[in-house]
Amino acid sequence: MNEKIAALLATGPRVANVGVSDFSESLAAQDVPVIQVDWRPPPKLDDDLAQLLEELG
Amino acid sequence: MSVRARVIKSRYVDSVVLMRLAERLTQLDSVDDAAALMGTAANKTLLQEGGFVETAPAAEADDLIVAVKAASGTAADAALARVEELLEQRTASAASRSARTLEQALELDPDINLATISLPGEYAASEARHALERGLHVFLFSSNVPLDDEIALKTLAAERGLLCMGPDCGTALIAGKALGFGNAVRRGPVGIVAAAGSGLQAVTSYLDSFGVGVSHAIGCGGRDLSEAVGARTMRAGLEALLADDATEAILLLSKPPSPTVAADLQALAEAARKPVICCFLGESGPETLDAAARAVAAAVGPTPQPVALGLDDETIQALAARLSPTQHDLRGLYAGGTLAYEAQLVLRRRGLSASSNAPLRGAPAFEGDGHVVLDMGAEEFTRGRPHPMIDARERRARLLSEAADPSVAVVLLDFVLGFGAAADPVGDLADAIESARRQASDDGRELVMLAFVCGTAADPQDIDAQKQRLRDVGAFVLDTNAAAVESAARLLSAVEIVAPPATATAGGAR
Repeated sequence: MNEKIAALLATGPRVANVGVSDFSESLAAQDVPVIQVDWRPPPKLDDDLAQLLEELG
Repeated sequence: MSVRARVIKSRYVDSVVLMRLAERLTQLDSVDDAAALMGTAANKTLLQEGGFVETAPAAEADDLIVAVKAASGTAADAALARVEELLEQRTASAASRSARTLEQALELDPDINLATISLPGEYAASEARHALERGLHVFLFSSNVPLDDEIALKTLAAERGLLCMGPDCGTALIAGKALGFGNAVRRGPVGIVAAAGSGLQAVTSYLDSFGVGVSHAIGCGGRDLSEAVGARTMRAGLEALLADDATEAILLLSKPPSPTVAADLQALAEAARKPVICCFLGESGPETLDAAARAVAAAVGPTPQPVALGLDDETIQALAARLSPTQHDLRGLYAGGTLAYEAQLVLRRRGLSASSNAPLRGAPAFEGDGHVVLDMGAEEFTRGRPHPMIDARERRARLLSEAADPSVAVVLLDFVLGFGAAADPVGDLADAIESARRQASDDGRELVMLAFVCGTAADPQDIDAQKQRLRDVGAFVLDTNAAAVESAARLLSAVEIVAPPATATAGGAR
């Protein structure tokens, strides 16, 4: 048996919520510890830089 | 009428907040319509198509675009000037702690063990990878994630011993806690692994109504049982539930998997040391979601009685007699994809063929007339919008347009309650149901509305009040989705007996 999955099932979720903030509120309403991550889109990369990063990838 | 748009640079807000902003703007006096979207290329096209802008505004994906149609230019400008204030109302109600990045969240709480991710599809995979690399299990709600990315994420999760639920995973219940959309279900001995979000919600709600609880329900995402993904998450979930002491019997639930994947899962189920029931809807195992719930409940206790089979004959006959001769078609307007799928299966067993945007395997292509069952949570209905379990706007519009179609006799609607869903799913559609029935009535037609409410007594929305509201606006409420569809099919059969459809109607065999 996988220990990490067993631990999740045993202890229940402690959550970082990335995206729709309503889901954080739903989790909080169920007494699930949750931290909302205020995500925003990454800055648009210059095409040459994106290509370089891809190659380094 | 004046149309004005405003771009707020570097202000990212999620799709649900955008929906509320648009709603609040629309409610302002002298505003006819409003849109609030992030400045992606696709969204700018949507604004042009909606008549909100003539040319695409200069905006990037992290810029907020707000546009209004108002009685005058002054009124439009006044509405746009209130955007920050309306957004602040929202922020003030957000209760949870927040961080700017995943790393910062982990610094604030090093015991975080799972990331729930509901970003636009193009960004979702990289955030999910990021989370898995930091040792977190992932619940990936986002759809539109490329297949190759899904395989890579699930492979990485397996290497690290983590669960990757999704992409396109709507529902999970881990230790009784709902992730994404999920109902307040009692805990107990049944474990579920499902690639069928609303199907999982229906099954867990039915189990709850039988008095049978759920240990854990693990979601996989709609593509997990494809040949390419090979049920990576379902296998991991099954293994975990087989090892879990609290789980006595297991249900594997999905729309039809790839044949080789289905055979592999069946073999695992048969070899398992606990009862494992495979319900591959329309393919093998229990034929409906309530039958699946009964089957797995019977593995842990007494077999629950089948629930009522829908409207009684007297009601069916009375309704059939009130329909006009033009009315012979069904429209299913579903928020739940698996519920739409189950509806098509029940109709097919009754000898009725329905076209759909999400058709059964081997079903005819979508035609738009005859019987139609729509999955309104599918991508084509949710571009730039939240899911219909949260955002009723698209379903309201569709319901009103169907009411104007003289061929429509019966409309099937689902209302999914629970965490993550709208605060008042029935309330969001109730006036549209009333208007649709009144509009049909003014044209001399009776429009029959059959509804299924998916939820439990412990859900935040008050299921009894939701059902009563539906009855108050003239809809019939059935105990299961299958019973609602069965009732619709029996009504349509009764119509054929009372008044056979004119041979001139389009479509031929139905």
